[in-house]
Amino acid sequence: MDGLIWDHPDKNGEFDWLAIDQINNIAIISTAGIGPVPLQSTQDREFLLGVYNQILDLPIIGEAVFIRDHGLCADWADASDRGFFCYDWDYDRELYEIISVPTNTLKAEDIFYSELYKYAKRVALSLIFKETKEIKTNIQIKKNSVA
Amino acid sequence: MTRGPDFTNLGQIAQRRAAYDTDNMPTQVWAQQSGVTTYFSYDGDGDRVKKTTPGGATTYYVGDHYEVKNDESLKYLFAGNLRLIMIKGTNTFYFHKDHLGSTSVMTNNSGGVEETTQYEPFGSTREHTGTDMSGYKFTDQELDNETNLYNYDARLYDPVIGRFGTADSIIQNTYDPQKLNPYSYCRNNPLIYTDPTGHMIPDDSLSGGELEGSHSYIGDYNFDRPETLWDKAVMGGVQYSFGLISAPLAPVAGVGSGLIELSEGNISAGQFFGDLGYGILTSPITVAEDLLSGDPLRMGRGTAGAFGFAALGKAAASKIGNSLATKNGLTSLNTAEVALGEELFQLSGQSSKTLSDVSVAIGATNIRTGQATVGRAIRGVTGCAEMDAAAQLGGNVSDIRFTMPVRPRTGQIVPVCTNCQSIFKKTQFPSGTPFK
Repeated sequence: MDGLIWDHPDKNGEFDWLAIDQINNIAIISTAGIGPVPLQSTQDREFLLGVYNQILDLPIIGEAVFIRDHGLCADWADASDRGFFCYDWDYDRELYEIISVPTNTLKAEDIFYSELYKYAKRVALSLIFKETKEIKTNIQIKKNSVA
Repeated sequence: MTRGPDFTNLGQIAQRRAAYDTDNMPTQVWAQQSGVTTYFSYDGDGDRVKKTTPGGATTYYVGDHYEVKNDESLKYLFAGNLRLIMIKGTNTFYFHKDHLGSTSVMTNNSGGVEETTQYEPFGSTREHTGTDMSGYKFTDQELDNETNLYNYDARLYDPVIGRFGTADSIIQNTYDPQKLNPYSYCRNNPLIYTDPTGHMIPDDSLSGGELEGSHSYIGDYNFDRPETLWDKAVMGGVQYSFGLISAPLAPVAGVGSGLIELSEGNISAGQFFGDLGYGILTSPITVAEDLLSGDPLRMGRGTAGAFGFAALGKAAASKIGNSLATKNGLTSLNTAEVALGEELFQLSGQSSKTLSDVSVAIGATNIRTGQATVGRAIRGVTGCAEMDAAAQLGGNVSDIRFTMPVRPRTGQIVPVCTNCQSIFKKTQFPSGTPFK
């Protein structure tokens, strides 16, 4: 775990956190009330509770491609339409699983003007979302990723 | 009323001819019954995406949640795997399922009954009234009226003969003789098993085994534990019991076995009549119809049902209080489910953000007052759906019965809140509710 702590900021409630990968693509990751959250994101709780308002303000740049049939999924469609990879907590396997990917990806630097840029950069995962179907909670987070 | 063919008259047995693609999926089926050929298309996963009949009627399938049928869109809402709602244009229709997930009743948004369907054990239609609102019928699979075959995804199923049209590519258990016939349906035991994929019986439904399934009808109800009754009733919602589902088998297999158990002292009279009462609990109208039918088998079943219902009412009414009160023509045993369904429907019309702001929703009812409500856990707000429901209902928390918790964002059934697992008993939730 590289000395970094995972926490549950809103147990039993929806909580979505942001992360970037090694090539600066952005993902929004949903806890489904159970999934652990990097400590950095728990400190950004107030911002992240309203993160979808920020995402919906971004322009649509492509379309969502659903990897998994996962019910209604309207908000993940909205996010992937805007370039985000979307993951959701899998209750049974206890890991984050990819739900939808964008046809056009968004780089963190593309939204330097948005607060999302600052908060997304705070959690950098040692992986590439395009190649990652599952995120296990022993994934390494860069120590220097806290802004 | 629709009935199956007379097997003593071979001329009445419907003929069909089918063509298959390289994945062994039917691409066209001609049915003598309708005299038309129906064409099917599939996606890369083998899921049906299009159905066309010569008249030009075309249905497009987009996953489980959306269809376009003759240029009219149909949306479906689920709670987990349970199909709850169909939205057709501006109209909303509600599915009411039995314990197998078969659609027994469909109602409109004012509570009016649009359609009722009863099934033979293997799924052929025993009786149907009203307008054919939805094709999703026996075990929630789609009935192709053109061919009178059910689409079980991997294969087509003929409910009249109780067999699939093609061999299963998977043998679920080579040590189980009942599964060695690759055309058979659900171990030839359609009363307790389902086959959602056309390949196999889900593992969780096999855990109790066939004997336990039979026993659940006969034996283990205890009037001192009304939770057991609740468990069974809520689990099925407005479902039929084994006694009703098995139709003519009920008096023979169910009541007969129960009487044997009773005479041998293995169960008490209370247990026996309790099971009978449970059996007809959700369908007193059917009991009345049976009593008046003039058919000896149905009258026998109706008598048993009425007897059990009376016994149940006498012995258990004081304990389950107003839980038999009605709402929209449905017993309040499922008012919590109706309330939850309405909540999910309301949320489905909201923006994606609002939808995901409700983290968890749960239906709940107080068995003493009959009041039903929906508890909600809201994003960013401390508290859980279960406690929200308990606060709204008031009274003693042990009097509350819940539906399974649902995550509106996806329609998934989710585990009960961890804190509440020490406040509420598992028996206050339907059997199969996940706990972490």
